[in-house]
Amino acid sequence: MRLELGVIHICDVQFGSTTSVKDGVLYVDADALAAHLKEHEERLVDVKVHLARPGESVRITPVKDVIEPRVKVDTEAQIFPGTVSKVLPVGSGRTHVLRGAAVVTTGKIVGFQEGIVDMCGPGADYTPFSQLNNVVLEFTLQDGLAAHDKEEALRFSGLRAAKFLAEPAKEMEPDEITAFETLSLIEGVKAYPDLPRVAYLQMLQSQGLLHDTYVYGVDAKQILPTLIHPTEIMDGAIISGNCVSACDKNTTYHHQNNPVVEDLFAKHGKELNFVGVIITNENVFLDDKIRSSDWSAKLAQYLSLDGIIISQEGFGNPDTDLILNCKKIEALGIPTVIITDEYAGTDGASQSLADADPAANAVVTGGNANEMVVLPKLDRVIGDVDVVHVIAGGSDKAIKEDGSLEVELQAITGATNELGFNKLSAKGY
Amino acid sequence: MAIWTNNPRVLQEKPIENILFFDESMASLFVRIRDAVHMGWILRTHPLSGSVRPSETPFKSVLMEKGDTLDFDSLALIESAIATEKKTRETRHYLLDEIAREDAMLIDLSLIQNAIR
Repeated sequence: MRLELGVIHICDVQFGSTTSVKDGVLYVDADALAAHLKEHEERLVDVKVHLARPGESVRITPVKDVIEPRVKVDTEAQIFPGTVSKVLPVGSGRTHVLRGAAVVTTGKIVGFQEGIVDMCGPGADYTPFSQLNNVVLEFTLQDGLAAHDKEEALRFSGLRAAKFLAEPAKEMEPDEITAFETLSLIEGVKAYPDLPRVAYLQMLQSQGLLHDTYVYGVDAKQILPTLIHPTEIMDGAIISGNCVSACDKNTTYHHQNNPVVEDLFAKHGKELNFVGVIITNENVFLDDKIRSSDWSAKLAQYLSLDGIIISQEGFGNPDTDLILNCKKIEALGIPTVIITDEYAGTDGASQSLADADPAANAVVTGGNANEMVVLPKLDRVIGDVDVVHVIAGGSDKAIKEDGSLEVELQAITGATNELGFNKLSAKGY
Repeated sequence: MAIWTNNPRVLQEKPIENILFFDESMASLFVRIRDAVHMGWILRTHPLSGSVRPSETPFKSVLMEKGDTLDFDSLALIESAIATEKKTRETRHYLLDEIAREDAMLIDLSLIQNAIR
């Protein structure tokens, strides 16, 4: 399967009378966008469209999802299959990307909710989304909706908005084009007989409301571990329904731009043979953990791997899934590298994970989510800053008299991301 | 099979027939579960369900099955959960208003319902 990714660089976002892209500027017809979203989602009462650019004194909270605008150019299959597009196979042909732009969704689903994106100041250093030209959608939903309905309405509307904004890019000539290709198993063996066979096991959060991930529209808690082409992930085959513990949940943007996939592709055919991606879930039911980790190990063995990278999503009971995956695959003689983050207390001295095993001897960490950070007051808030009292990583003393926030990194969207889509890590000396 | 819980919504919705409800803190519930594990009960769901930390939500539900002997995997899980609960409770303190409390109950209910489904 071969995908060409055509990147169109976006350096600014502005309101305009039509939605278009010109000289690196994304112009957004806010009325048309809002009307489009309301037309497709009757649960939306109101949509406010805001713009937030890098360096502006803007705080966005609670952030539900971040999505990169992408459009399929030459296939019937469209971006985000099985959710807001027909369930057709993606991952091949040409996809155009508005790189540097993003849709950010905000709106209240439950009483505690999280995700802070600061566009400037110290908070901006912790979230990659401060570097993007964001189209922020603030949703008001019908009264009386159940929390599940609210979550779904926000999730679908964000995806629709990203699709809508990318539409003008369909006819454009990209600034750069990169091709990504995964060969069939036999072709791969023939092409790279001397290179180590490496795969990627991506664990998907799948515990319940606000803790869910969807694969071609299927709730990931209902899947058995399976194979997926890495280019399908780039085309939005995996989307996020997650918005609790914002620091280490994968937004849809993270999936679209998974750095593990990108780095493995960069080394593919040179240092290693990137065989493909196994996806698995993180369910609460202990039998599911055992079944899924057994299945992932069977697939790793079936692929005759020389090594595998395993990324976790979230923390707590997924630590158990992570360690099960690691030790079962290691037991088959396949070396693993795991990517996680840490909850080591505010001083960093406590045990980092809720589970551990000697087989987990190669670990990459996204940093300590308990670390405290002070975020100065910013001029403008999009959303509702009062949620900081009750969100993960916030507290009843989080909002200071001068308007600054004292929170754990956990509150900041993407701060300790376990795909490595962040700047934090830890070193042993 | 029984759900051990301190969540009134779980008692009300009854995801399964057998609900053992205890009107007490999560810390007390975890200790009660640990004692039950020593008496042969087996954990069927992970006690650290969800990404809402023990210090943020007071509610927890755990699916348990009565067995005959001490299950060391269950013991390790609940001991680890007790340690995590203690660690997070000591570091942070949260205020949940009435709506947030209702939502915390709903999230816990959703997690246990999805586990059983």
